[in-house]
Amino acid sequence: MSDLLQQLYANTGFAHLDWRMLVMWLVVAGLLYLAVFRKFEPLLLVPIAFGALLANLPTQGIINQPAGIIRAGVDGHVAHSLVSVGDRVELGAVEKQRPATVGELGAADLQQLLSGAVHPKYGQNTLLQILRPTASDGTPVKSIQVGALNVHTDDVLVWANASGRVVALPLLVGEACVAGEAVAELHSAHTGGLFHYIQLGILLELFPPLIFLGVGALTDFGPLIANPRTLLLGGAAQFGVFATYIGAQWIGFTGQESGAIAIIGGADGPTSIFLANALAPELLAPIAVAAYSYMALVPVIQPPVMRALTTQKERRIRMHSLRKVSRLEKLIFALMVTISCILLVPAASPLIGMLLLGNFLRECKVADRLSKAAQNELINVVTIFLGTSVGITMTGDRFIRTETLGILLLGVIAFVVATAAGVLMAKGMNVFSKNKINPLIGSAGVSAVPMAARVSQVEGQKADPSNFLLMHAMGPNVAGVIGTALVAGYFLTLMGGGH
Amino acid sequence: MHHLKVTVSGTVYEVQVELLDAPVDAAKPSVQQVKTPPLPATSNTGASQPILSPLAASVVSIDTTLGAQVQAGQTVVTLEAMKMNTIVTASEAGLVKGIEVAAGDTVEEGQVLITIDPIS
Repeated sequence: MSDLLQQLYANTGFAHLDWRMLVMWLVVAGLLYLAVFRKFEPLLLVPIAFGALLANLPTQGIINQPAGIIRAGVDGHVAHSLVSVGDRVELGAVEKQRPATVGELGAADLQQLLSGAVHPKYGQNTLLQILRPTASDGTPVKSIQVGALNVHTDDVLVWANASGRVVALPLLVGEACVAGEAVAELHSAHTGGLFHYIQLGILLELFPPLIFLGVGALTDFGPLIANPRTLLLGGAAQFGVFATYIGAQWIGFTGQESGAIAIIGGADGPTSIFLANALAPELLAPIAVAAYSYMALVPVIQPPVMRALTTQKERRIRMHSLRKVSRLEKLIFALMVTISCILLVPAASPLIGMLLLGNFLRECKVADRLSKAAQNELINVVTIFLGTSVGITMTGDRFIRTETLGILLLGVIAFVVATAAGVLMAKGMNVFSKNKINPLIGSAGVSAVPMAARVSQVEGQKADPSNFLLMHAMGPNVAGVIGTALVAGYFLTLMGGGH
Repeated sequence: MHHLKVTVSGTVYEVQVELLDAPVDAAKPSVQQVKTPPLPATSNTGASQPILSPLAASVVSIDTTLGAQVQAGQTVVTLEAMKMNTIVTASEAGLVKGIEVAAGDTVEEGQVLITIDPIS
């Protein structure tokens, strides 16, 4: 009888809960509180928080990947093969972060995996092969004996990504492999979870450009065209990126990792993901989480910095459009920006191209149906998918690690410095100019589009309810996107991501 | 900010005028713009005040009715831009004389939303 009860318990989700999940529930509760009761970017925060809740439950059919081909991560040769064709692979019920090397895994866990029994964390037969890299990454290598196997601490582990049957192992022990070569194939009748497919929108970088299409259709660039010097504020905010780059190196991240972390200071999710992929792929998950959660937390982080650096009188500065901007001017502006930005930063083409396509649809006045679809239905649907996909990467296992918490801390610093630099730059420009700029729009130089511009508007209205800074803040906001893309291009050239 | 006394058909109005190209004053202007096309002389005044759209947006709702009396600072129109509602208030007390836009309309910056006859 008690056996039966035990079996029933094992089949429910309760058996798979661990303390990290419970801590993440509290994080989720905090985010939901900010979104629902404090109304901080609820359109972004609610999907992120709900995705994070799903990520920290023993779900089925949500994030599991379909069985398929497993590829080598390094150049080297197959040192050991631990499974044979026909073996069944069974992943644990909850996806865990799996160590990349023997050194990270440790001898005890390796011993348990070799025995063929069910490992409580990693499941059964999930470690397929052990690859020995040709080139060492510089860390001292220790040779250890585990059971019958001799392994090195820098040997790379090949894990199964789904439950199923091993149907092919193309390489024999001792054969050489190159990074990206197929080393195993799994088959299963299961097709992979809902969010495995939705997340492809982030991995393939489809969602961010579609969001930008909607933002372009929402934005009136008239105030910017009439007063183009506000573009400079988007450059000022990049100080945050460079300050964090230095800070991250100082606390021990490598140059490449520091570059990828620092770009969070631009608050630009798409660019952060792009750069992390190229420079520090192992930090992709925490960087994506940090970048997108800060985009959602812009209304929490920015206002105290903005208020601390400005006087009541400065916050009341009214901004007027200097002149009426004609439709033709707006159309030419959209085309000119597209051409010049893509020539300047080819890597930013998808974002800039879609942003100005959306804006052209808006301003040409003959494609209203498309413009309205882009700024309403399309952007809403994509926001749901983007938010939940980012949230679903926030598993407790991945999130509650000193490395991740360090990145989150550096992200906040980057963000605060970028905000402050923009505000101070606007104040500096006022010293030399008669036509005053409200320094509150300086903070919009961080490229969280359009959250940062909305913060400028809300803060401006707190000082003077009949002041409307929204469209004026869109100038620095868009310049921030272009600026961050430029800095990312600079880091990429400087550190030459070899991935 | 300039304080002017204007006499129209024998009636005296006090208006405050903000010069837009002068150094910006912190205080709120009571009249946003004086240079309006002359309206047909229907009622007892020629000094109708237009309330202009402060930014390009779409109209969510008209929060007053034709002929209603409004106070300075009262919400008259709700606009939406960048997925955010922005509220436009009456700059001074008066009677709503004209409503130039309807909910759902797209408006440009500087477009007339409603006109108000100030109560003297």
